[in-house]
Amino acid sequence: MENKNNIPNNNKENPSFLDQIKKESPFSVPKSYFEVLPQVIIDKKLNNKSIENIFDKLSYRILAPTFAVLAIIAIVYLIPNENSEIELTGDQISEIILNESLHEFDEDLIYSVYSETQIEEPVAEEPNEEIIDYLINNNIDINSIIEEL
Amino acid sequence: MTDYNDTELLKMFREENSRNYAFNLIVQQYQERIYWHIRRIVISHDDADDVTQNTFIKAWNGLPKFKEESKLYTWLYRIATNESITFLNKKRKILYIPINNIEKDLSNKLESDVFFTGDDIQLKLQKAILKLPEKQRIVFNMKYYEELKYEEISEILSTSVGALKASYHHAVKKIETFLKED
Repeated sequence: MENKNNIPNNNKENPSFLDQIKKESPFSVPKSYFEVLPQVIIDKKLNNKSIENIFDKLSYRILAPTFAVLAIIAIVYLIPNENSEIELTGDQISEIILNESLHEFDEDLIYSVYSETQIEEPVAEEPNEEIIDYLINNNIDINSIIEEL
Repeated sequence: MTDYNDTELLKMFREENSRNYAFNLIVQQYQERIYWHIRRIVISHDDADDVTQNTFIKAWNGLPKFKEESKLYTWLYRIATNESITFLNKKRKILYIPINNIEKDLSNKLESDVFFTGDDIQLKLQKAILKLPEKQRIVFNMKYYEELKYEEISEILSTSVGALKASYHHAVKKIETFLKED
């Protein structure tokens, strides 16, 4: 069969340009590297094994129940209770306003906000007609009442 | 060190009392071949050291399930190749290096590597090899430097012998071109 890729079938296919180059490895290793490598691997293997063993034992005997208890505690204490309200006494509120909050306000800001706010004048209520009629009929001077107040 | 064949080593490994001893023998017997195979892929000694250790740790974990359908050293070679490729892929991700540029990065490091002891022409050859696509590079190294048979490479890389011959042939042609251009 014709080899369409022109690929040699034997193992002696190295061209001449490779024969001119030294085939020995151009890489080296630190001194005594291969003498200590087996021990390094054994140590690493034992270390991995001991870590795995410790974790296996802990996970079943200690870690699992511990995490379960911690999860329950977290649910009970860390999830905010919607019904809980903070109750402060009057003294505490005053203390907070005076010591912590009030002095932090910018006075200019307060003034500017205040000046923009139009305070509605209290609307003078019309005197009730029945009351006026009563006062007239009984000849009572409204000014004398005011003076008494 | 007494040389044991694979069957003897595996028999010792399966017995609880001699497991550690057998594993020690397996490491001693295959460490150099595995290391050099990895070193040609990842280039730096430190990286090759890490990958070699990981390869044998994986082998320790996998040996109880090893069914002797392949030779022990081809099985170790397969783990080593996979670990090396995984290592380079991780390096690409960590350093945000585009897929084709990791070899350029390795090539640049060759000149400053204290554990590279080759001459100028060997350095040029290594740089040319690093310009090959990853799989062609691995095939070239296994055939040229490690002198493995195509059948063995086929078993390790799960690639047909025909495809490997083509891959090696194209690799050699490309290297020749790279060296002429350089």
